[in-house]
Amino acid sequence: MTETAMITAATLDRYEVVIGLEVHAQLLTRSKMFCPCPADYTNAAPNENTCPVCLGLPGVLPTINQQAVDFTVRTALALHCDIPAFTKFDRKNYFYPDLPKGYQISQYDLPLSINGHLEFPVGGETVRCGITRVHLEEDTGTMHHAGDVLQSATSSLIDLNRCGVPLMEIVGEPDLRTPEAAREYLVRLRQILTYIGVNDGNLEKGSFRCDANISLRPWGARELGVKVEVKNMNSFRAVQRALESEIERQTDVLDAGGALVQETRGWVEAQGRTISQRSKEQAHDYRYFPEPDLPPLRLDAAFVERVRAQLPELPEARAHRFQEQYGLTVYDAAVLTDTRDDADTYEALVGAGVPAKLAANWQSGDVAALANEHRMALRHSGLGVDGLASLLRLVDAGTINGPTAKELLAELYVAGGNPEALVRDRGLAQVSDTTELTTLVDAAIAANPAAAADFRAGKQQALGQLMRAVKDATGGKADMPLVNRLLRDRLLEH
Amino acid sequence: MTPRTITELAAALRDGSTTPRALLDDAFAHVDRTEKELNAYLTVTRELAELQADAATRTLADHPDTASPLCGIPMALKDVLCVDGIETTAGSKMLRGFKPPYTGTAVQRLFDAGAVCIGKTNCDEFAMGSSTENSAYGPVSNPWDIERVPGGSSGGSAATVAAGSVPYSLGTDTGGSIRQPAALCGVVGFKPTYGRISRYGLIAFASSLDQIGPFTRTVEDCALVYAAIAGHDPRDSTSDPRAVDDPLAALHTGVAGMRLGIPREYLGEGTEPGVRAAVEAAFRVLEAQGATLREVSLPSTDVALSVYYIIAPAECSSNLARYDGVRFGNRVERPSLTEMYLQTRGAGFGNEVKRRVMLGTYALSSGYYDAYYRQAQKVRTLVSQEFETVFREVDAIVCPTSPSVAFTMGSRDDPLSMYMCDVVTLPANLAGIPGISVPCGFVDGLPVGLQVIAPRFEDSRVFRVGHAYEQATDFHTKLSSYASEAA
Amino acid sequence: MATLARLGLSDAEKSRLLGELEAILDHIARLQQVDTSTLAETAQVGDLVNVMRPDEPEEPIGAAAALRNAPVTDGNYFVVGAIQGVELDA
Repeated sequence: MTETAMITAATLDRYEVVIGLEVHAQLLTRSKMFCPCPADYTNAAPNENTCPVCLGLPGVLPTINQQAVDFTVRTALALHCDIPAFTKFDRKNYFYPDLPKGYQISQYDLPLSINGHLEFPVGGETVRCGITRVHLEEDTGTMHHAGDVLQSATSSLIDLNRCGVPLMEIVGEPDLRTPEAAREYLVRLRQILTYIGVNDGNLEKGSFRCDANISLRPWGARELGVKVEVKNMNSFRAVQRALESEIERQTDVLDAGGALVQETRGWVEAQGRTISQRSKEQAHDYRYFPEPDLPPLRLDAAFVERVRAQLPELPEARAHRFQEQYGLTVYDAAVLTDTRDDADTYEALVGAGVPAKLAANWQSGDVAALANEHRMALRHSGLGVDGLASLLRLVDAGTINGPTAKELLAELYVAGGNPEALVRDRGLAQVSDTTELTTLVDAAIAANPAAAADFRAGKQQALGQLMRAVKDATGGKADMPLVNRLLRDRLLEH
Repeated sequence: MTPRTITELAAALRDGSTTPRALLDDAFAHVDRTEKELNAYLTVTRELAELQADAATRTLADHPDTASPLCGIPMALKDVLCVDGIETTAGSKMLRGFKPPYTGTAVQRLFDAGAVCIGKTNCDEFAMGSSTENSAYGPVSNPWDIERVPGGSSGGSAATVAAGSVPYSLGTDTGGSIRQPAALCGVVGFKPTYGRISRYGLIAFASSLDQIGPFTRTVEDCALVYAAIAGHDPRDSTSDPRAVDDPLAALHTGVAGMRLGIPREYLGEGTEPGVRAAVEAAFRVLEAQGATLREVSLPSTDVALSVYYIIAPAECSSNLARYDGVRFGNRVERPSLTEMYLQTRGAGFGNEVKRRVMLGTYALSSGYYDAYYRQAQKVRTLVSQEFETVFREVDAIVCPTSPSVAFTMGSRDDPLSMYMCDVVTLPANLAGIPGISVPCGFVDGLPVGLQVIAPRFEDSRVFRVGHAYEQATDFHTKLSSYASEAA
Repeated sequence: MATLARLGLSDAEKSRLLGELEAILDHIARLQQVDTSTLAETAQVGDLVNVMRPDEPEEPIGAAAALRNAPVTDGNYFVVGAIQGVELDA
């Protein structure tokens, strides 16, 4: 446990920690939220990816991206939210250079969805956190501050490429009680969003952003303590560490009898602490009013059911089914449903005739290691899912042994190739003819009398030398479990 | 010689008695002669006009039968309408030098029809005002008396048609800014049903009230221009997808058998006696034409002014937040961003704009939202409902357009008295219903306008009533001194 | 209120505006007397709902056009001065 984690544990004796998370997730639409500019601005030079609408020029008007609405409803359904029959957009008015219109089109009092929940495991137990609302808005531009520090920069450069990208805001209830729970909430939420195909889950790039609200109160107190908002956490680990650090800070203040200030604090990774971002205009009066340029949305039951029908099987349900259908352990099922691609790959393998357990072992073992090493998922590798299926069918049929399969896998992963053809052409088929092997077993025993004697005397490890001898004699192609059995039989005959 | 109507010019262009270039040259020559006194134009677009005239010439030569009646005919655009590459200032210092990288939809439809744009006309800053005295580029003079205002905010667009420089122009109407100047300048001015004409490209003042509309000399011309620009635009989510019925189809039907209502609240104490007389005479004409007139009541008329002066400033305060010196427009450079914002907006906006932005910010601010903005939106529903009730009894409403004729410049420096100019026009904006002003007389040589208002989507009905009245009178043939000199 | 609206006003302007606004607000106060208990707000006059656009991207106008009217630029960026002048607190 880290030092801050230990402090958190100590704090929890005296104070209840209350955490609520707010996630902003960019939607994987092709165009922006209120204009038809491309939504993907990653390769665009500054301000290339703009049009009069997202630039906020005089005389322009917004138009709602249908897909963004669909994606948000899809997300809301995956989070068990209610979809009210009537929803609208509102203007959130404030001045900031990355907000060209001087207002953000967002949703205020009648959002697209409300009252959902999310369940996820924390240390072996299932925790449920409420979801207050999921709504839709537009992203702002980005800025580069001279010297990279906003507070002291004398000038800033503004790039509006990101301005107007569809942004889904997911507000969680303050039901979380530990930094670890906060982290697991985010892990599960991101998993769901990527599963349903609405977000790419990339925290570093900023397409999945998280802010936290945290307060402490003495156990048994009804009212919440002073709420502090924490921003600028760019990884799940940062979220956990930032919250632990904040707990430590708040505990120190409270223990000393001081009062906490309701404020926004930024996590500074390099310093391992949060720093106040108090600005001149503390209380923002956003002067919300309904967006006059956009008619409201009435989403009827038929529409909602259409979106619901497009929901893929969600990770939790899929993991459960894997346990039932394929006889996998809870752990294996979780690993194999970590991403939708993993789960789809697994079912493709099983569908191609690879036994469930075999596929599970290889996919989560050797294949996962190779995917990591080459930064290339199986699906996009040279071998591909079909190639792996072919290879594993050979293993299952006993045509090749384990070690041979491993070598082939490593060789073919990036380069690709036909496993069956290669096994045939290189004569890699495993030697499993009992007669042939018995001959080799006898030869090995004869060539290693000391090891034979040791084994007969009770030293199990001595078998290894004899196994290796037979293996080498077959050029590594012997059916090793069979060799093992034959050796034991032979050695224990006497 | 009388300046010709669109219909007359379209015929002349096709029978060879004139050309787009000739019309253009006449228009520019006239503007040159009159501009010093009228100040109707902020930008004169010679190069664009010549390109358009030449293109129109080719179109008329190749397809005279399918070419739009507007093809080759000069016109002017209020300077709140964006035209690609042409300075568009909204009558404000804030946008001096601003050249939009795009053209608005309504304007583009005119361009596609072969229209020839000779310039951008002067207006009250960001369309806020009823006299065009709020322009940052000097006021516009009324061609009937240059000491007097032409009305506002579309003063320049009204004046240039009244002066005879062009047969039509486009203006915008949020609280009466087409109809009122049309009345004060003795021309026809029309505000369509909200949602009939796309607002894409119109520099926004109050989003739920703004509409674009034409100024012309005759109702028929007005219907022609309307037909060319009305209709759904996917870029404007508030534009209505309903098909536009052809306003020319029923134009000549007349008013026999129609029931017309006169709201008693629209002829109240504030109405000048000369205006009242002219308008009542107009009622007699309509009766003689076979319409039955009766008094109706719109009790919320006096609070409608309050509703408007909450909603319009509220929406404008938000719409004008984008004028911050960062991406376009005037900028007063300062080391700190906040100072830059304050000085840029302080220097770039005139008094009326500042008033309305402050008022609007206040109306939306926390603690006041319910009492002001929300309350205003509820009373707005009441205004709409009252019109609906009245329209169950009558087919259209007739009344004055403005309680007064053109007043002298500088005579209404109290904001509230200026706001009263719109008391009879702004309710139609609140309800989103169409209205027209047609010339109906004079008081000491100053024009009076008759207003016709109809239910939502009954724009054709407005034209029909207006046309019937116009054809039974000769006020539309009266010319200002500038117009009688025009070609 | 002027700060909220980012309007830099001189003291003279402020006092004049205050007077004008008070007069206007007095006039507008008559709005309070209307009984609106049975009325819904008109956010939009029409009856349009569900006006949406298919998710089809179009060519952007590009940085040159975007920056053409900008008073101050730095390469392809818009520029502003110091955004925050406050001291950092711990």
